[in-house]
Amino acid sequence: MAYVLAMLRLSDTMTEGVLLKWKKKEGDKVEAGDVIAEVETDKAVMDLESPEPGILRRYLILEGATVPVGAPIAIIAGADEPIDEILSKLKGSGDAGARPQTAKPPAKPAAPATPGKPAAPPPAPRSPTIPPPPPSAQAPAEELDNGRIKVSPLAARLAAEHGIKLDKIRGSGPGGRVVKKDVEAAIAAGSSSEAATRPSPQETPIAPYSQKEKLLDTGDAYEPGESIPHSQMRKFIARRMVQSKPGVPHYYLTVAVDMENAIDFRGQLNKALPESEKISMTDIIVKAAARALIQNPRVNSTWTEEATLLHPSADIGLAVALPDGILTPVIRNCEQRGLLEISRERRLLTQRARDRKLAPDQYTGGTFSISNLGMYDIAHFTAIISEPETAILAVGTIRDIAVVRGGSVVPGKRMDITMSCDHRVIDGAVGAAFMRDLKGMLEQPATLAL
Amino acid sequence: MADNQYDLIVIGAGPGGYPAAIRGAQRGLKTAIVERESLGGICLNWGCIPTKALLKSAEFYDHARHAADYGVTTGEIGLDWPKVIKRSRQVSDRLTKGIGALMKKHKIDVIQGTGVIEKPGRVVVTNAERQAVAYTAKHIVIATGGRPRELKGMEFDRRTIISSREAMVLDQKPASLAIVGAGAIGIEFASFYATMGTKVTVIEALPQILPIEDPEVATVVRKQLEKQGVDIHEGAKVNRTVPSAEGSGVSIGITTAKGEAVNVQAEKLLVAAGVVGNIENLGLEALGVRTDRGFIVADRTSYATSVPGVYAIGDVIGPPLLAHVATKEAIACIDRITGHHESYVNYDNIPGCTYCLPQVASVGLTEPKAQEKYPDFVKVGRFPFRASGRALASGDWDGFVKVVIHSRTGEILGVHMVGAEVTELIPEIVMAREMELTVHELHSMIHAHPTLAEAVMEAAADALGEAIHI
Repeated sequence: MAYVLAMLRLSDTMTEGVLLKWKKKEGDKVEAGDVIAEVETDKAVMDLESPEPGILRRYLILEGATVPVGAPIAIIAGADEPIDEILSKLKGSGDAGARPQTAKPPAKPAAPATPGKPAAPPPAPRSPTIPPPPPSAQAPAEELDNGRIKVSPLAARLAAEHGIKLDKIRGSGPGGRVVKKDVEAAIAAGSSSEAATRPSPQETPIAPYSQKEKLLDTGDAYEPGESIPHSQMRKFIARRMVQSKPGVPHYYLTVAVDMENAIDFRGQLNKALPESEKISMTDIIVKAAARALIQNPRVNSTWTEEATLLHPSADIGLAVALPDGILTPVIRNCEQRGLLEISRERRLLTQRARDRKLAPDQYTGGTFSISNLGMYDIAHFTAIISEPETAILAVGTIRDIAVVRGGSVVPGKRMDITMSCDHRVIDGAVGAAFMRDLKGMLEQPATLAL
Repeated sequence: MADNQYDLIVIGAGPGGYPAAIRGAQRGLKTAIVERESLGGICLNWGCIPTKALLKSAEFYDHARHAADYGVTTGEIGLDWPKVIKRSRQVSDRLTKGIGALMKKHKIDVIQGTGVIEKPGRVVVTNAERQAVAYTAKHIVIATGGRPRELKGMEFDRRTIISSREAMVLDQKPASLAIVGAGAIGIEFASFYATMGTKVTVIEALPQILPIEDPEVATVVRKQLEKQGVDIHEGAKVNRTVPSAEGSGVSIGITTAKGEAVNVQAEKLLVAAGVVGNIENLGLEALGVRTDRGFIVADRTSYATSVPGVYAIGDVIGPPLLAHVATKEAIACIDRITGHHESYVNYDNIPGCTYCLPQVASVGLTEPKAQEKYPDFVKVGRFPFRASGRALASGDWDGFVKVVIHSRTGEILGVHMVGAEVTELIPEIVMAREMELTVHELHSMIHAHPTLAEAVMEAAADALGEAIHI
């Protein structure tokens, strides 16, 4: 029985999806639960599974197409089952496409080869002992593997050097691999700013290639004067921010926290930990915030028309910067977790966010959010509440400043934290109490061990 | 054979010719190969292979004389010179027989004799008994190789003034030997004879021995040879060569780089000053095959000559004069003839190895050449074997690995090594460059410990300013 597969709603906020790549070819057998395609949603890249078994008979949309949830995307049917009726019905409703071609430009194929034919017809006893190469080796593979483009490390660096986007380049290497000369050709075609205008290279450090080492690099390769097409994430962030700011009555509370003890505390903990496990200041702030939230449950809440819901646990979302936006993976039950556990969870979720591999339950359902711009030297800022939460904490950098202690002016370590509060739920005194408790814990971090 | 018609005839059975024939057979062509001497050509019989066998004897001799350093007690260490030579001949013989077996296996007809291309598609082979037989073939590949270049005023008499061929089968170890030409061949013989106890003098016209190698590498080799008592004259001009006044031997008058007139006396003079292609007696002129300065002109992608149906590969078409290049050219040539056009030789990524002691291995641009090509963008990393656990454990701590990179992209522009066994370390670099890996990948990949190969990883790290062990 032929089945029209539609774009599934893969997250509760999803309204449309981008079909990045078909994972099965037309004619492939699929079982129920097999991954048929990779789809980009508003929050992550996700696998779209077939609910039905059968043969994937026809693609109805092209790779790269954006369609609303519920739009038909493929036909699954028996091997010999006629599908023309369904196709014409879909065509009639304006949905089905003609025979889909891949949206990507084909890679330049190598000079045409004829498999294994000898130049002159050989006499009977002689036959080629080298088998002809399999057709796939000759295919101009613009195959994207998990969204990665086949490119040599050298070509990738050269492209990055000159600000050239790899998906704009045709690969002439084996299997459509982008190689150095392809990038050089693109450079010569003038698709980037000239290397000559770059600063003196003598002291320029070589950027590490590994993604693991990449810091919060929010820059991308677009040049002034270009336009950046909206990704799903960008559309989503815009929608949410517009809803939140005018919709939620924001007000802001700032405290200056003396971080000397916290710095000591962290240093002592980290003495016993290997490099890959070291606790960060964010982990300490998360733990302290979790305690403070349990002590001040109105700050850990959601506004509904009927009632204010107080959440049973502190599920804290941490804003993670990505090259094209932000994601907020959630650490659940922070009040029950130790610092090391929070640290590990943070690392894991951050990496998944960077790899765009977060599952919906890892970035939804938080009760409170923390955004830390301290590593950018931001002294103070105010954040926008992420609905349906009612508060968000903005953490600034730890500054060396002169402070008054015991009547004298001494050097001190200060960090400004600013909470945005939803005044429908959190009154001034309630918010202030939370901030007082949070500050207290950060200034006496040993209490976090209790 | 029943008939004399073939799909492919290869003239010359060296490291270019015999792979061409085998590839032809693999691609289903009825193939014959013509050879006037021994299968395996110069490489197997009068080049690469026997010299490596000789150098191994020298290395062994050297190690044996230092046996006490390793706690090994020996009696008197001596040399059985005829045995040294004989062993190298035995190695050659064995390999030549091996090529014969390969020809049989692939059903390639071996035609002994000298081949002349009468016209396109027709080869006449004259054997030792002066019988001439004609064969036809759709495709003819010339792989006749090269021979030592003769210099004016130092023509080979093959007794006193000799070429590499004679130098590898001398009856007796000479007391003294002068070598004109300090490329790979000259330096290998210098190293061999000096280690064996001959007084060696090297005369080179260019400013540096091993002229195409990186200057730092040449320095290490120079120092080692000088330590062994070799006199080296770089930038020297040979004025005249006359028979020695004191009986056998030669007297060579040279002008050194400083302008001094020096007289070099030696029992024998080895001229190792280059190679010329074997383009004579093939009928090339009548055929119209274009040659240039002693080599056949061939397209470096299809290996076609100026005459359709006639191809040429290997030393006979000129530099790079390397056996591994000849082999790859042969394969690319036959692949393309049989419709496989993706086959090619990457001339920008050919490793060069010199088997003097310590060995030299390199690929890509030398540091000065890199600086010329990319001024301001060159970074260099070095790792001396003195800092390598493996090298110290073996007692072979001369030399280093040098990695030359482009500072922006990390491109591996060149790698230059000198030290024990470095010829076995260079393939990693060739592979990395072929696959467009950068110094970062070289650095981050795990290299087993303790190995000499780690020096490559450490030199890469040094280029990035991150070396741990130096």
